[in-house]
Amino acid sequence: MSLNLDPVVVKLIGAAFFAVGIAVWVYAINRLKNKSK
Amino acid sequence: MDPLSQFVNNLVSGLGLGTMNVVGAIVFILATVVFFGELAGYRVHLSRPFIRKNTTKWDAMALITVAISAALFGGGLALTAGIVFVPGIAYLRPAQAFTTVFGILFGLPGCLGSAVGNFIGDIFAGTLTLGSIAGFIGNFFSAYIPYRIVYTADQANLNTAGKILRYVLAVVAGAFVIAFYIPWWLAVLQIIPAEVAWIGVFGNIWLNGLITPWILGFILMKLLFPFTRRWNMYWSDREGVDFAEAK
Repeated sequence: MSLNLDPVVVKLIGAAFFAVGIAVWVYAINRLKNKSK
Repeated sequence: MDPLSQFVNNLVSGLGLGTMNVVGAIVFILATVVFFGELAGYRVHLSRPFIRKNTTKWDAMALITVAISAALFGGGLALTAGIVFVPGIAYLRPAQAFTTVFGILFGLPGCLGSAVGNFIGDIFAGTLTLGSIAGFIGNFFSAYIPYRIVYTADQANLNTAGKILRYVLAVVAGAFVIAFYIPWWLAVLQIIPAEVAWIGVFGNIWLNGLITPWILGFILMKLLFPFTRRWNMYWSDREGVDFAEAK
């Protein structure tokens, strides 16, 4: 199965996923910080 | 072709496709048993008792860790898709370094996140085939083997030559498992011809599983390990594992 996406679109989607990953990581750090207080 | 790929392909040709198929089958069966065992909560050990319950608690934080690993690895794969190592032959996967790092830092959730991340990468790279099933489990092992070898917090703190050597060897072992796991599946299901699977794909997966985790993975480990402990996200801190008992 191939989505046949333009390489630029693939990179944009990749960057979006990467940004979401960092955002969730920051959320997790804060969640753990608040729990340990 | 670059000398490294040429060397690996010559090695595979020397061993013969029959040998590669046999080793591939053994690796595939053992690894698949270990994979489903871990998901069911049981871990294989090399000492008695050989099967014990694993320590992973699938709570909200574990699922968040899976999501973080999957998003960063999948996103990283899509972001760096198509970096050509050798035109028409080999593609470089810098994001492969994440699997080693996530496995060692996050444990089982990091391994599962690596598997999901590869699936995400396959979807957007347009390479989602039946081969993605082996890609899923193979990338799980790309994280899992280094996690089991660089197991303790002390071992993960790469501050001596001995610990760095252990990390280097863990990467070699992880790369071997994924490099045998995926081509065997591709060859058996005839997704690609056996010759292409072993002479070409094997070398490409093995070298990608070695080079970027050795260099980029090492840098990421040095950067992230102290912070991961400080943030209370290191797997043994989360799972309350006492290494004296666990060993």
